[in-house]
Amino acid sequence: MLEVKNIESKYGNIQAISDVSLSVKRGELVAVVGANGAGKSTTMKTIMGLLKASAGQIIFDNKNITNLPAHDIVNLGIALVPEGRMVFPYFTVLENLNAGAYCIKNKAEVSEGLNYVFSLFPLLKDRLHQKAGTLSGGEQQMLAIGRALMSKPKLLLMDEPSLGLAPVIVDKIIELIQEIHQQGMTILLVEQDVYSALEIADRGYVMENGRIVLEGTANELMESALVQKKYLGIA
Amino acid sequence: MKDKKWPLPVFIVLLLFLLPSITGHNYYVLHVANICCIFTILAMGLNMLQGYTGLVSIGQAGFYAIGAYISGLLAVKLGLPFLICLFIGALVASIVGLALGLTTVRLYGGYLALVTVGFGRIIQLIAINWVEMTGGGEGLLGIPPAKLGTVVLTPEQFYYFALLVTVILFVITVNLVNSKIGRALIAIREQRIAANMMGIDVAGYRLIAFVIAACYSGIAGGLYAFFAGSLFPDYFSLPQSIIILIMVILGGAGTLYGPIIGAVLVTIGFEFLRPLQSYQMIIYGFGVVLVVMFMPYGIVGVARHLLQIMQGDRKGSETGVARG
Repeated sequence: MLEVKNIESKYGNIQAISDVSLSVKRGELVAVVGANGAGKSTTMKTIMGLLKASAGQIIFDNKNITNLPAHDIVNLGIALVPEGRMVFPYFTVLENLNAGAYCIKNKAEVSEGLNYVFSLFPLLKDRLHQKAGTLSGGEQQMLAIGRALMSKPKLLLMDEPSLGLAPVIVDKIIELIQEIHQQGMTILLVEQDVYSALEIADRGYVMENGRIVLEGTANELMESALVQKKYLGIA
Repeated sequence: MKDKKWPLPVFIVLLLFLLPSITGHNYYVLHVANICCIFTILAMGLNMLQGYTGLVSIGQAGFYAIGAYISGLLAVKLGLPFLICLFIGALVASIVGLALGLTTVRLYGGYLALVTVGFGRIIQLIAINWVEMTGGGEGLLGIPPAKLGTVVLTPEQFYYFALLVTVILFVITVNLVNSKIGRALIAIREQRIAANMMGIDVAGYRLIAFVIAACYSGIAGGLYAFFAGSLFPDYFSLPQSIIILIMVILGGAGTLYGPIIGAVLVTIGFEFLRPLQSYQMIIYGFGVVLVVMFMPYGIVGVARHLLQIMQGDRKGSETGVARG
């Protein structure tokens, strides 16, 4: 479904990622893990069209989407749950969700989407008219995920959904991601919490210094010496 | 934002149409009322940019000048009819707005503000230095009085016309704000990147906001040209741009009624504070500091807050507070 081929991306003159290739098949949950500054988020931003790829190709559903403007990519069916959640703080929960359905013209589909989001996050329904900025971090993350789902994406990109959340909440969010995946959503998940991410993923990639250094099924990665030593702290 | 209470605005508009009769056809009142209309249009335009999209412009006097000079020149040099002059003035201002929007598509905050200051100054300098065309510092003189068909408008009729234009533009603004465009602009103001991630074409909608602001300013300029009968470059100065900005902020940026209240209060305020001459700006500057610090949604925000307290709506009272 998504095929990223040898992409490169730069911030000014500084090369942030080079020769990154990865693929996501329909129905898969693929994790990209790695330390801070490894280039995971940069990869996401490049796929999403927020950063220009200076080389390489990104193919989505047999369509070349390299360097298309972000809003066009959203309309093609990729949604991003951005790093740091980025909910609209002065919008109510409902307004946030409606904003997520911006590219959907059909009103029936919007209310269908709302019902789906409420079935996943019943809590949001109770806070419908509360300003998003007054929600807790975990609730905001749920809102950000719900908002992304409102555009009925074929592929959901998630950038660090565990960032800045208490461990208990992280577990909950991870569980929810698994649930969304089990209901048929294709997901590309970027995470620093390597263990949590690999636990629910089908396959994974490990990034270091802007390159992919290891790839395989989640189990293979879990058992690899590199991941065990560097990220899981198992000697 | 969802003001569905139309009777009150309609009543106020009716009252405004009766203003000349109520005040005994006082020429001075008419003059101030005309200026109020013109500045309301300017403030409503800037509000789309500053209030709803979160883009600061301190160069609206530039678009104001373009609308005024184009309309004025078309009337003086080519003798075109009033409405056509007004239309072309607004059109040219919109096109220049589009151009400025395109060139500044990546700029935000202070950087954008600086560019708009430069833009306003450039337009003013053109008006000063292109003497053969604009008359330079001597001014563009002899703009004929406005005519609709064959009827030359009296000052009173001109006021009715200006008020009508203002009301039409207000209705357009209300519809814009409550449309898909308005929601997109507000989303961009609140969280630019997230808005982009929702499939909103940020660059495109920015341009729309720029063009709306420029177009409104152009219309205001055209009205001013025919109202004043002569144009002088020093009127379209940086302080003028700042005054428009003050109107928006004081009244309440990002609210529908804010710019109107701001424009009327500041215009009338200038009349009352006339003895202070240029010291007036100190008062306005100080006022803006206070407003920005204590009432981020301006007068409208405070009014809304008080209304909520009166209605005992505890939940809503948190909504009047700051905006990003």
